Amino acid sequence: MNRYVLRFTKYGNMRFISHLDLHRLFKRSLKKAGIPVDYSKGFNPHEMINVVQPLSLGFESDSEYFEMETPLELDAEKAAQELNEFLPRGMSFTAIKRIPLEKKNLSAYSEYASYRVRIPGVVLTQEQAEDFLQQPQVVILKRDKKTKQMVEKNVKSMIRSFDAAGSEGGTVISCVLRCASNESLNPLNLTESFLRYAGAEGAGVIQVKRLEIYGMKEGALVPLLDLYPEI
Amino acid sequence: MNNTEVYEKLEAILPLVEKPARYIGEEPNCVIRDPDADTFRFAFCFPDTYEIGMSYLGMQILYNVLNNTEGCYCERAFAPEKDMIGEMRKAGLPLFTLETKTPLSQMDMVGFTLQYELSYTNILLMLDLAGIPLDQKDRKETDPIIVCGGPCAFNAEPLADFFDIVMVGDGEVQIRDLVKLAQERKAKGLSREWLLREASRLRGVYVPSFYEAVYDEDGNYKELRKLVPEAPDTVLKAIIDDIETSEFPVTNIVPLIEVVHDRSVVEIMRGCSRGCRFCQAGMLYRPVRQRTPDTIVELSKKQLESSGNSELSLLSLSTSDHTEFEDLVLKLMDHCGKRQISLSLPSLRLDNFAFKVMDEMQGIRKTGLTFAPEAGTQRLRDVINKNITETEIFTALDKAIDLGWTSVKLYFMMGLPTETDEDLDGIADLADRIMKLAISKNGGTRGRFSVSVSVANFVPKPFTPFQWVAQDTEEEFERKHRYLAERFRKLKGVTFHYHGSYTSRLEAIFARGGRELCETLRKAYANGCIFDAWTEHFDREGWEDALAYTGIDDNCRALRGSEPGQPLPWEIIDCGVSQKFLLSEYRRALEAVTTQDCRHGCNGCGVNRYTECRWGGIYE
Repeated sequence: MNRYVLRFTKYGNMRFISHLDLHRLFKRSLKKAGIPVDYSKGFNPHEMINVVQPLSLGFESDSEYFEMETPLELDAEKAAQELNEFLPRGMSFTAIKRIPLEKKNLSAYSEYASYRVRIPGVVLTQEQAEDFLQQPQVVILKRDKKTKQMVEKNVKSMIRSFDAAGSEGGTVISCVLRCASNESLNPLNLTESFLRYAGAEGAGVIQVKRLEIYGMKEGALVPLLDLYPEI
Repeated sequence: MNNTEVYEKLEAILPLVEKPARYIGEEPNCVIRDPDADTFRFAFCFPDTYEIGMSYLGMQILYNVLNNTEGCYCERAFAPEKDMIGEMRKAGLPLFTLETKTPLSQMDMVGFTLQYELSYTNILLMLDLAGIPLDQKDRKETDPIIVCGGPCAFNAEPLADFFDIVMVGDGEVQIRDLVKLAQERKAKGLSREWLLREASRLRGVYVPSFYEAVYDEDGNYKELRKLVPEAPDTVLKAIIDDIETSEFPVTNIVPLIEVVHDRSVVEIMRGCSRGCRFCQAGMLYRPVRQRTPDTIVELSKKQLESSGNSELSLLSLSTSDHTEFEDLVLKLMDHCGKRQISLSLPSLRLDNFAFKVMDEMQGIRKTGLTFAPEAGTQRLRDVINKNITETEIFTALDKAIDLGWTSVKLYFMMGLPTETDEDLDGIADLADRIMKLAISKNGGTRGRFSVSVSVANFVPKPFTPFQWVAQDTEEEFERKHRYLAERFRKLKGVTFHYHGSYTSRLEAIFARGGRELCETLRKAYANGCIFDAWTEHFDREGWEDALAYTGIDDNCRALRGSEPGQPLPWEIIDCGVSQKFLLSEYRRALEAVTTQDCRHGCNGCGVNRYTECRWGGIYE
């Protein structure tokens, strides 16, 4: 068995392809490229593939991660190229790496993700972002999964950084937020909270792009792909 | 509005709607081109959601044919969901093609497929969203030519006001001929009128505006009167003599979201020789034509390869009737087995070979076994000429239960001609006896075994031997539903499903109606009726109002039927099968006399007047 991790982009309209649909698309690409996938053992076997940390529908991304296990030892670059042939415009595999087999999947190592949020029509400053962060509690509104009611939640501990740069056209926010399997903070929720805090109105359609997903190594953020040495 | 403006408006809307991927296009294998002013632009429209339309093979066939026609570029459009309709109207965004985001109004030709009657309001919806005049007479020289095809096009009278051209029969060759004429019109700057006149000379092309419907003083349909002298008296459907050599797509568009059928599909046969008297497809698609196993395997391989699909399905009206079926299945099993591709064989007759196949096929779940006896007693099955016997059902079941199957699905119809309560009892009895067999084979307990019975309301269709019969009234359907529900209440482990009778009534009205329904449809659409096939969207009040407004009631011919010999609105079309044959089949039905499968001897349906039928009497 061989385990590979692939980094891929999600641009343009591909931001509307859901997590489940991505799985289906990748399964097809693998089938088309003639790369067989291993199945899990057990009563209800499933393919050993995984898209790390689902991205919200509507977000673009520079770096998403897909891992899979195959009985074949691949010519990695060639495999990525063949897989790319099938992918629609806006999606492509930009890196591939063979990594050691282990029980845990890659999602378990994800700790933080960085985002760039574009807010058209509203100009906000770094000072406002700092004030926003300095509140004793940074509260977002979130829909409760069970009661369907909007509830408040303090997410201050889940923000690693949050910077704003305003220009004439609008504001660009760069942030690093918690993105782990047990908890994660949606940048759109946080941005909306910031807009409410700043009393800003008239924002256009907010665009979010994930830049990178990070694990931790010796206290520092490391892109998921670099957590492992090449094997 | 140009494509860039559409794109910009779309950008703002997509984040606000459910499943935005329905509206983005960009799927693998979709054809993206950069057309110039000379390119002939065709939009293929499916008047239902993306998920339904993308599961329809006919679209992929014609998309492929049109995009392989020189100078022609075919794109797609579907009916947007209600949330999207709202956003599009708010933003002033017209209906656009998925490929290049071009407004439909800028196409040269817009084609709709008519698959079921309850999609008709969606045609008006799509034209309306596109800003194209709904009525054919209101369209200007610069508006697209609006055409249709598909099974319901055989009686397009209820849509006559809305279509410039109706295409009847096999579409592959015909659509290219029509497009060639339209290309000539475009190149030479000729009029719509020129195109309609030239097109009406093509086989299978019907131009509704060349005729007017005449009614007698009581409002009964009398005839179609020609308004243009050279318009044909009858329009014979287009027929492909041989499907072995006809164009079939191998690089099908692969949807990025989950659609109803997510698999490769190869059409192995067109037509059916069994002659079930209720079945419109069985009459319309004659003669039976088939592809050879080698061609089918070749097409399957290519389709699977280009799509990365992990399921292959065979399409036909009766899969097991392919003359080289065993050879075909063995070849496909060999190909699929090695590649972890599952093979699905719909409408498989459960004989020994079928069991052998199912036993050998990998990963087959022994859960659902399906039979369609259609009627509860042998007498009624003889009336409808459905040649399945209880012996066949029980022989197959006996074996299936031994092999571990635990559920059976049974499909019936209700409201068939000559039906009595005894025939309904037969439905419940059959389910009861199947359950008893399962219990006795399972050591006296039911275990996990279950029987599911689904009963559809019979809708009489044009070009069938039952085109003259009355449909049951809504009250009668409901009485029968209650009667059967009562019988089933006492049966443990048997579930009973039935359909709402009001929509079946609408289906019957539009299946057999005439041009008087154009106004009904207009009114229903104005009342907000769309997506009528969707229970959650169906607006009964809107329809009741539209029918009342246009005077369509329980006494209309489409519901109460007519005497043979009285004029029928669809007689302008010749479907290949003669009206004489249909009438003789109707008479035999009333006497419960069956008619043999064509393979055991030609029954003289008449289709061989127009093409070679290779099936009549091959088993003689």
